[in-house]
Order: sequence, then structure tokens, then C-alpha cells
Amino acid sequence: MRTLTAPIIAALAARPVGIAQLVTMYLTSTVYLNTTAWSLSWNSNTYLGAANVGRIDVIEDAPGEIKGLSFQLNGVGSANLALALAEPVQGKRVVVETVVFNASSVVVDAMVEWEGRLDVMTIQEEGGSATITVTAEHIGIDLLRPTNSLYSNAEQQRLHAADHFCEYIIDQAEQPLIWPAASFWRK
Amino acid sequence: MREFISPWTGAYDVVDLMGERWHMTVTLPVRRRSQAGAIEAYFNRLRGVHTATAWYFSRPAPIGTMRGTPILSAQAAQGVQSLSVSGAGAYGTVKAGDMLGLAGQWLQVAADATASAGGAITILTANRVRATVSSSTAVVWDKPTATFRLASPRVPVAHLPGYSDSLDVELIETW
Repeated sequence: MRTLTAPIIAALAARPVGIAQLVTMYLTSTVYLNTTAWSLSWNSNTYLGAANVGRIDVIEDAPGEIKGLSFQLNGVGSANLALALAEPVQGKRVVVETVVFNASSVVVDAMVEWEGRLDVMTIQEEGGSATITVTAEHIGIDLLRPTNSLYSNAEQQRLHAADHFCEYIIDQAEQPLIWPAASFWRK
Repeated sequence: MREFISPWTGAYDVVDLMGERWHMTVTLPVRRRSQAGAIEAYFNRLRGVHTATAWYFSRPAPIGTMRGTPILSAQAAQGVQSLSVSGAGAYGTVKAGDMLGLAGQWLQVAADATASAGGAITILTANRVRATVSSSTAVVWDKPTATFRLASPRVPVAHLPGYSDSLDVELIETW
């Protein structure tokens, strides 16, 4: 269970509750964005306000399912588009945090909401600007990936070259063993 | 802002998504064609990419009596709605609705206030300071400007026989 600090509990109890989301993309040069229109400082980093130009998918929790996210940036000029095209985004880490503001509109704390790795980036051009969309997979997807490691001699030799434990495993597999043998009773 | 109504109590719960902006809708009256071209060209030149500065047309100067060269007497942190100002003139006043400029941002006075004999005044604002502003920054009262861009890249100009129809342009604050 997540334990909330007293300042956050007080901030959540206030009306209205001020919230925003911070997006950190660990690209070649780390990108810091937030969902408000202002630039926010948190952990000595400046998160640029991307309200009205950026969009993040709704983060949904479903039992037994690990859902991805998609991030969208609209109105990207052709000069900045070249930067996006040159950036290898696949596999780069991305973190989405929710920050809560107190009644004085000061950030109280940030909690990690979602973490994953960026996947495919698509660019849609329209008129003089473009929309960049990048999808991301949740970091928990690793838990569902098959390990592809079998109890075979080849695998055992790959892992431990001197270990011959599985050398005759195929010969032994599903062999009927009768013990004692019939000859024993004929003595 | 996002509003939610509780299905059990019917109470409203509001989430503040922060980062308010000013929106402005400018309506230009019907004009002769000879005059309309320059206006059409001006807004077309913005193309939704370039910006224009504007002051608050309905109140270019405060209705209150604050004049002179007021400055912040203390740093205004991001998100605050209260400004400590000095140099507002002896017993100078601001009235609710007056528009002040602070580091390129429009801040609307939320409540009437009167300065001390020494010219110190605490001004409550309707909107929040979007970025921390250091002490001694000038508080602009004379036609403070903010920067705007076209909310839509389209400029809906209608040329009719003999004249050019009125024009509505929506602008959104940018920085």
C-alpha cells in the first residue's frame, strides 16, 4: 500500500486539488515535460509546460493486463521534426509522475504513476506542422516475456561448459524402467 | 479545471490542472473593402505561428489611482496570487479588474486595495504568477501587454459585394 505524507494528504483534502503530470523521457538529451501551461521545477529539473500541445493516454489499470501508453506532441515545426527523426527512441526509458500542488500552488510531492520504455514513433504531417506520436510499453511487460531457457544439454553447456549433468537427458527421457529386471526372478 | 459530481452526495469536486492562459476574442466591425485589406493581411501574417502583443483594451490604465513606477518589494513565487508592491504612490489605489503587467504576464487585480503613505501596497490577483519573479521587478500599469497567437490558423474574412463583413478573431496567450 502506498503511504502518503501529511502534506499530500492535506493537499488532497483541499479544494480544489491541483494536479499535473511530469513526463521524463531519457533520450540522448533527457526531455522534461509537464501537462500544465507553466514550466515547473522539480528535483532541480525544469519541466516545460506542454498544455494544449501535448497529450498522454489515460493510464488504465486492469487486472492481469499490463497496458502501454502513447504520447503525442502536436504542432511540431519542420525544423524540430528533423531532430525527432534523428533520435533513436526505441527502448529509451520514460517515467510519468503525478505531482500534487498545495493550496499555495506549490508542488508538494511527485509520485511515479507509470514507467516504461518507448517503442515506435510515428509522424503525421498536416499542413505546415506535424504530429509526433510515440508509444511506450510498461516496464512490467518484462514479467510476461518467456525466458526461452530449457533444461537441455545445449543450454546447460552454454551456461556451464564443464557441467555434463544433462548430457544423456534425451536418452533417459520417457524410458520405461523395470526394476528388478525379469531375469532376477529366474535365478 | 475538471469537475466531478459525487454519485452519492451530489457534491462537486474540482481538480485544478494549473497553468491558466488568457483568451481574447477580437471583433472588428464591418469595413470598406479598401480598409479591410490591411487588417486581413495583418492576421494572415500571424499564420498561427507568429505572435502579437496587445494590452487590455477595455482598461488600458487602472481605474485606481496607482501611478508612478511601482516595483515588487518582495519576490513573487510561482503560483502566488498576492503581490507586495512598493512605489505605488501615497495612498494610491487599485480597483478590482485593473490589469497589471509583471514580467510579460497580465495579472488582474482581484480586490480593491489602497497603498500606505509610503506607497507600499499588497495586491491580490485573480490569476496566478506563472513563473517566479524576482524582487524589484517593475509592475507595469500603463497599457501592460501580453503576447498572443491566433487560436486557429484560419482568419475568417468574408468579402461581400461593396464591403467586408465583421471579423471575429480568437487569440490565445502564449509565452
